[in-house]
Amino acid sequence: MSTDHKFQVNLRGVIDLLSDHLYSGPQVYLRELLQNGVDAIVARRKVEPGLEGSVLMEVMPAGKKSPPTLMVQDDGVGLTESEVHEFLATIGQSSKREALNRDDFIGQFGIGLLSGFVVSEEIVVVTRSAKPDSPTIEWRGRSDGTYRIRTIDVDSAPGTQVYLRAKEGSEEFFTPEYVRDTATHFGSLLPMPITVAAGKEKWKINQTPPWDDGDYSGEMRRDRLLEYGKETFETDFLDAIELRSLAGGVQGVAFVLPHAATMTARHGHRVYLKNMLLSEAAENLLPEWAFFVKCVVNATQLRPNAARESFYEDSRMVATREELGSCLKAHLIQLSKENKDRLNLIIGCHYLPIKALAVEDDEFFTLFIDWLPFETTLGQMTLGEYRQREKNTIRYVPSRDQFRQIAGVAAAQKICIINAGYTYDADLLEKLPDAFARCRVKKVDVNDLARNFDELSLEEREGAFDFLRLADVVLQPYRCAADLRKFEPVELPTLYTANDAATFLRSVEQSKEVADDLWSEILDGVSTEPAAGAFAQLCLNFNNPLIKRLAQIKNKPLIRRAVEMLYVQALLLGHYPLKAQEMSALSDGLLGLIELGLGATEKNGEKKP
Amino acid sequence: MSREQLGKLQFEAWGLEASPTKVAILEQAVQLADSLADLEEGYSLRQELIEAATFGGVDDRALVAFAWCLAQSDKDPDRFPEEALLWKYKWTLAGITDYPGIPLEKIRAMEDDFENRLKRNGYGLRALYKLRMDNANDTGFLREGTEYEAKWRKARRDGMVDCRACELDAEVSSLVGSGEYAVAIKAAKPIMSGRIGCHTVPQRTFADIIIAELSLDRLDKAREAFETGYPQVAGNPDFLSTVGWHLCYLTRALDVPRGLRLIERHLPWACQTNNPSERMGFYSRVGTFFERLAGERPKPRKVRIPNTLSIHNNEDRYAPADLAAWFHAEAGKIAARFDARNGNNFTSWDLADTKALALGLERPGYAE
Repeated sequence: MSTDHKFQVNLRGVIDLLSDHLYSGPQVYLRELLQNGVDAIVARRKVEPGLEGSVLMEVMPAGKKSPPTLMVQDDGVGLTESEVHEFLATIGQSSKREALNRDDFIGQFGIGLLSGFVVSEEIVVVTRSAKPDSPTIEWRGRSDGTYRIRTIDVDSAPGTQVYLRAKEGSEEFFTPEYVRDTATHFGSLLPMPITVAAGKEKWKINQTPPWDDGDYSGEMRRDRLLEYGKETFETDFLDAIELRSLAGGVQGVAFVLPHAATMTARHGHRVYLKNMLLSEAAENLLPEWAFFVKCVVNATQLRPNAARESFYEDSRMVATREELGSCLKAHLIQLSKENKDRLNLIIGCHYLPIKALAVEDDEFFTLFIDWLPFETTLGQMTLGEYRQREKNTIRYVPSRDQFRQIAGVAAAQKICIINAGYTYDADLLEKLPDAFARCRVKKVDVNDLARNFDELSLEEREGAFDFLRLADVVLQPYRCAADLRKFEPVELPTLYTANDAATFLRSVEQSKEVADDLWSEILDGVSTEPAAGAFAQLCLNFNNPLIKRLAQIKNKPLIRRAVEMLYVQALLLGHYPLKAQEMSALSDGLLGLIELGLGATEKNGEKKP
Repeated sequence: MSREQLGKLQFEAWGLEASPTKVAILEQAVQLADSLADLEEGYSLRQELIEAATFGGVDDRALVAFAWCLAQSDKDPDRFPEEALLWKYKWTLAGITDYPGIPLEKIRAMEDDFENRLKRNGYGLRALYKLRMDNANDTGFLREGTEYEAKWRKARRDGMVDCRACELDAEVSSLVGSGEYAVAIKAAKPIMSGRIGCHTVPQRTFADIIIAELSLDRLDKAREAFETGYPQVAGNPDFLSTVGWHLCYLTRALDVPRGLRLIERHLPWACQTNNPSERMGFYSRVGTFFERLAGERPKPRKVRIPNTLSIHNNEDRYAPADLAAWFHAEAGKIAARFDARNGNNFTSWDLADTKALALGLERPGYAE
């Protein structure tokens, strides 16, 4: 007895939808069929707990007139006739992506089966339900949307066989090697025996996941894990960290990358869901700071997202991520107690993510902060070294631009200041007083640095008073103050410093020079707040012979010009783009100085006949 | 030498997520390019800077760089095509009401300017209507906002409109704004289930969910939104206002340890930002947290307050009532500037409304 039916849906449309949205390529048809077999076995185990179950994938090569065929057989729960109708009905509702119901066995079976049409024109299912007195059913479906169901009179064991005949152009997906490699790729960690067969050849694809390998412990286990990491990712990792989460039912390994990673480079993790490969590029598995590892994990309690490339983001995922983060943290802490060399190797490479964790986690901060490296005016050192050197008084500038301005001069005075312009550094330093009560942390404004320089003697001050006052007046239109101090190196006539607000204001003025009226006013509206704190300063070096001489002359126009030129020179040395006003000071100044020089030569010439 | 430095800075910036650090590095690179008089490089670095600043929570930096680029494009459109700037123009306009120093007529003039540029590049006005709607709503002209909302919904989509996730997020905000909380939560489903999303969604959407759930007195649901949503925004100052809404939940739930932790972590952002609206919003929510604390547990306690704030003291010990008064007063001063600019009392009302929500009190009404 057989009946002809037509799918109630546009099958083509559903297949297209599946291949566009849910499947990354034709290879997933193997994953889906394998998954169907596994699900069927799991379903049957609920009734027969002792059942081991197995899946056989047999490739039959092309004959003279017939294309290659793949048969996938499981000894799972099987389907009754009404269940076959049910899965077809489920497909019928699948006109929208979100309606695809993968949660129940039957729905999943239907969707998985449909994926076969990506590589095949005709699919035959022979199935017998494990329920008592169930007949064997044959379902024959075609990609044009027709199918036929009949009962066949054979006394087969419960389970399902799916036959796919390669459609023209898809033969490459039916070679024994392809089937074996793809099945291994997706299913090698599955707990029930999976066999791929072709002719007389048979391959059992199962492998023991490294975390289940109970034979090893300690360093040997670590070596074994690292070996696995090398096989899987072709990388010699620095370390292997075991992962475990109760919330997500996760087990796995995190491998520490052998090179510094950037925050933006996403290292996709290899994730298995109930032992079937879900994705090789899952991203949301770990906390954001953990960008220094690449993982292989299996999860039993998480759900896949719609695109099946990662886990679904819910509160269980949040809890899982937290637990996995704790595993990484605990490992680092353990290393700090038991293997300082290995830890230093990791810190040397990955101080950035470790700093990120220290920002978030107070306990970790207290344990690790002294080992983390910082850039200072006296070279790179760990915070522990810095604290010892500076007796717990920490001084830092908040931006790299400020550090650049002062680094040379501060080093010459042996003043040790941290460059906190790197990601996380300022946040870390500001946390210090909470962790260590004796620590004083001071954010240094670059303009304050000059206050540490030597003052002029009273007598010197007296002599240079008019000079300094004039210099101040000259620089006022440039929103810059003048100061006169003694500092090293003597060759340096000036030190120009501008705090971040002042530098910002420079960029505002630069934009205003090119902007139209509307935008000029808008720029004014935006810059009113920072303008209040903006401060630039030109500190003249009284140790420098030129400045010393300049401070003694009384020729006001000459001083005026010289100070302007020193100011512009300082800007140029600091790679500041000149504003129009400064540009004209430069050209006027140059011409004026030439004129002055010429005047002197002519005068001299007059004297000497 | 400088070329080499420039390359180094660029490479370094490339490896960073949008953040103030990335912006600082790009600013240095821009400065170098300008000092080398390399216009092309200065232009392309500023493009990167605008993006990093927009999504790194320093939008004033973005605006300054954008003004420069726009002027270069106007001067030499063949070299620096205008069309490539339109998307960034949107970002600039989207935050412009946050600066009380910019008068309303200038905001309108900017919108008109953007309209002209859209038209002459062959775009429809859907993107503009959304900006006009947001700007009207942010400045208390709610009727005008509703009018633009209708226009926005009607206008066709084109290459200049926000992505679907952002548009849906805007719709959710609009529903929350009009008090349709249950509808808003339902509308947000595709976002919350992870089906659609983008760079800033769902992160921002959690704010609306918290407002809606707190308004419906569903503290457990608000807690879920906090627990899932807060970790997603805790690392980026661009989400300071969203962080503020998470603080509202903690205030209402009287979750003191988490509230203090959140404040200590994010208050420095609020102090450092040049964006008055962001600072005001966060100060006000901090004030409300301490107000609740003052009512329930008034004893002085240790709190880490940035030393740039005038209320800071060296013992780090404060009476919650003092902190509440100080932060509310500071927020109030900024709100007064917004109200003066807008010619209404919308911003003050908005702060009062948020405060009532966080304290579980009756919400004040707003009459335009």
